[in-house]
Amino acid sequence: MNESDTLLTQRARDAILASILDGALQAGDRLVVTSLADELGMSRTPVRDALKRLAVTRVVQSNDSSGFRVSTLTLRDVRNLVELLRLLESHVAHEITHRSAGDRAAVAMALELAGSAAGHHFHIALGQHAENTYLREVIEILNERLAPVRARIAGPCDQGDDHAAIVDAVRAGDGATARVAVADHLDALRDAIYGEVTI
Amino acid sequence: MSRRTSIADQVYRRLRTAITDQRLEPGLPLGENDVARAMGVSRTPIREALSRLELEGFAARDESGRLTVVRVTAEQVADLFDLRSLLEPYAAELAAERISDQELAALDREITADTAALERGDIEALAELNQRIHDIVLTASRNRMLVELVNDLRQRLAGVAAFAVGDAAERAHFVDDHSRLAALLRAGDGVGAARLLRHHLEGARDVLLASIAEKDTDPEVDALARLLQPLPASEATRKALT
Repeated sequence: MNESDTLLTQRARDAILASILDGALQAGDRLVVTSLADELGMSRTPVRDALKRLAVTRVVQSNDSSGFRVSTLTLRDVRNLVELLRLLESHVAHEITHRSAGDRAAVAMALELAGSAAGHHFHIALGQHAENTYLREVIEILNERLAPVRARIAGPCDQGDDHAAIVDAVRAGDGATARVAVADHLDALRDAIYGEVTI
Repeated sequence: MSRRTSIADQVYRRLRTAITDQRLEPGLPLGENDVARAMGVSRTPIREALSRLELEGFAARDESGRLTVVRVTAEQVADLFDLRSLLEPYAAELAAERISDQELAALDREITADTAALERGDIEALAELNQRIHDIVLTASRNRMLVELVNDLRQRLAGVAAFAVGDAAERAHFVDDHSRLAALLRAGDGVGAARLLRHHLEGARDVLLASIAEKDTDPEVDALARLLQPLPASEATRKALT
């Protein structure tokens, strides 16, 4: 694969993911390669490759006839996801508080920038500051999987107070508070999702 | 220690050091005959050494079933085990409340087999049972996202640092951990089970990291590694590296 193919695939992936995140594509929706290629003004190959990549992180799922759909999550899956993120993100926040004041200030600034965008960006940005390579990846993957649900509800990620509390604790180097702030925030997110969804 | 075992052990340590020092390129085929020729020893100890490297994830099979050098650094091993030390104790804590009687019975069966494998020194069986025991605990967490995550991670890493073989005492300790873990799960002690599993994984990580850090000081090593590197510079290697 040459560089321009890689770039096209990346562009297709970002565009499809963005549509899922902003709700234009919803859980269970069919993803038709030809229509997506027309919409994005590119050939089918990068679109198909982008879908395959999104399937690796389970944001989309491929079905038997080699077509794709936006992954569906049960309410229980969502709860499990949020609880997993609570464990991993509070670990990262706590870890960051042990760094030097300069490093903490830099992380806090990056998080503040990310926090003004859609909810999941803040959480992926937090994950990106983990020292552990695999932890960074895992937090990103789990947040992408949760993103369509998060995008549909008016939750604590939209208000910014919780995110600010996490940033303050990180900047202050207060590990215990950082851990609790992340955990409380994700508990609130879980409750907001449960309040919104009726089954 | 028998002579054969000690040769196998030497071969194993030389290859492992060469792999983790990245003197052997990832993807390089490790054919029994080629390695035997390069090291000037018979195939039996080579086979034993290669099988151990595969169990520990320093070598892995490619699509055509050939054993090849895996890219594995101390940092990767540490990161992987640190992540497992977060995820699996969490799974154990959930499992203590959710594990079924059938799963507890299955766990007991695997642990009986684990003990038997330890007694007869069957490393391959220990590696497989280790995986099954950890899988039962993971599945009993009833968190599909967690199960998928750990499985995806495992698959992507192609078994890197899958199992800490260690020495006999360390193996006995790990098997003992498994049976104490089962007892804690049966008693519904989630906090205890999580703590034990965390220590267990930290122990396994330290055993693997110590084995990576432990340099073979034999001056012959460099010569051997040099011999090994261009060795299957035959067509197979060029293909594997392009």
